[in-house]
Amino acid sequence: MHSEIAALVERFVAGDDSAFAELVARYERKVYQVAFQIVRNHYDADEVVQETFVRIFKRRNELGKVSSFTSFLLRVATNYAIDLHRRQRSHDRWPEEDTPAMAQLQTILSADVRTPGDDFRDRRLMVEIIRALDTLPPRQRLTAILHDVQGYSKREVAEILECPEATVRSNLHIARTKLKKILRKRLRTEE
Amino acid sequence: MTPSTPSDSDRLLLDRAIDGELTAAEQERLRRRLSEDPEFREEHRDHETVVRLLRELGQSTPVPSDDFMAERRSLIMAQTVERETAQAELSDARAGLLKAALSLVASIAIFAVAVWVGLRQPDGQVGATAPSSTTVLSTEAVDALVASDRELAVGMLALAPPGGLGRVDLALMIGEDF
Repeated sequence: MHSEIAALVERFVAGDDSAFAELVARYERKVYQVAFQIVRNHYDADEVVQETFVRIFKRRNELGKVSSFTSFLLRVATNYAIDLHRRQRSHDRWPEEDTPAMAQLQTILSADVRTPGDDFRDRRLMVEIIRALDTLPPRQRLTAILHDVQGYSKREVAEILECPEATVRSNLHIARTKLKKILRKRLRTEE
Repeated sequence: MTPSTPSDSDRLLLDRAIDGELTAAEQERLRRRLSEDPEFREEHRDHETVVRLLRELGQSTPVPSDDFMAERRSLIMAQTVERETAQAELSDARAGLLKAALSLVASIAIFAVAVWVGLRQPDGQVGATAPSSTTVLSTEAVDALVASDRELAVGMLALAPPGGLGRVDLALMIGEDF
C-alpha cells in the first residue's frame, strides 16, 4: 500500500496527471471525513477537499521531500479546515438554531446513521461532546479529532501536526480531561 | 485503599489503558486501583465514555455518495490539471505572438538599415532618385553625390532651399557660391 502510494506520488511529481487523479480518488473521502469533523458542515468540508487537492497540486515539487504523503495531505487539509472554521466563528455565520453542532445532530439523529449506543442519553451526550470539542484550543481539538475520532495513531498525528509524539500524548490527555469535565458539568446542570 | 481524588498520573494511566498501551504490571496496578477506589472507578468510567463518544463521532461522519465524489473529482481536475494545460497553451500562444511581433520589428529595422546603407552608396543611385528630399542634403549624402556625379550635385544645389542643411558643403565641393 505504502509503496503503491509512493509510486503514485513519484509519477505525480514527474508530471503524470493520471497519477494525481488516482491520488485524489484514493484520498478524497479521508480528507472529507477529517474536514467534516473540524468544520462540522458539508459545504465547508467540500470546500476543504477541493482546496486541499488544489494546494497539493501546486506544491507537488515539495512532495519529493516529505516522508509521508498521507501526513502531508492531512496537514494541508487540517490547516485549511482550522482556518476556515476560525473565520466562520469570527464572522458568526451560524444562527443559534443552525450551529454546526446542530447540523451534525441532524445527521446523528437521521435514520440512516445508527450510533452503537443507540439511546437518547448517548445521543444527547454525543451532541454535548461535539459542542465541548468546539471549545478546545485548535491543537488539542485537532489531536482529539485525529486520534480519537478518526483513529490515527499517535505517531501519525505527530507527523500530521509536525510535533513530537510526547506533545500528542499531552494534548490528547488535556483534551480528554477537559471534555470529561465539560460533559460532567453540563449533565449535572441538566439533572 | 482509601478513596482519593485521582492524580494526573492516574489519569495518564487511564489514557494509556484506553489506548491499550499498558504493560502487564501497569494493568495489574490499574485493576487494583479500580477494585479498591470507587472515585477512581467513576473517573475511569467517565474517561471511557468520552473516548467512546469521540470514536462513535467518527462513525457518524456522513459519507458523500460516489456520484458526488466523482463530480468533485472532475472539479478538482478542472481546477488543477486542466487549468494548468490551458495556461500552458495560453503561454505558448503569447510566446508565438511575441515572436511574430519581434520578427516584424526586426524586419522593419533591417529595411531601415538597408535604406540607410543604400543612401551611403558612392554611386548615389538611391539619393539621386529623391533630389528634393532634405535627406539628400545631409553631409554624407552630399559627399557621396559629389564624388560620383558633380553635375548632379549642381542640380541638387539648385534645388536645395537657401540655408538648407549641407548647402555650403555642396557649393564648396563644386566650386560655386552658395
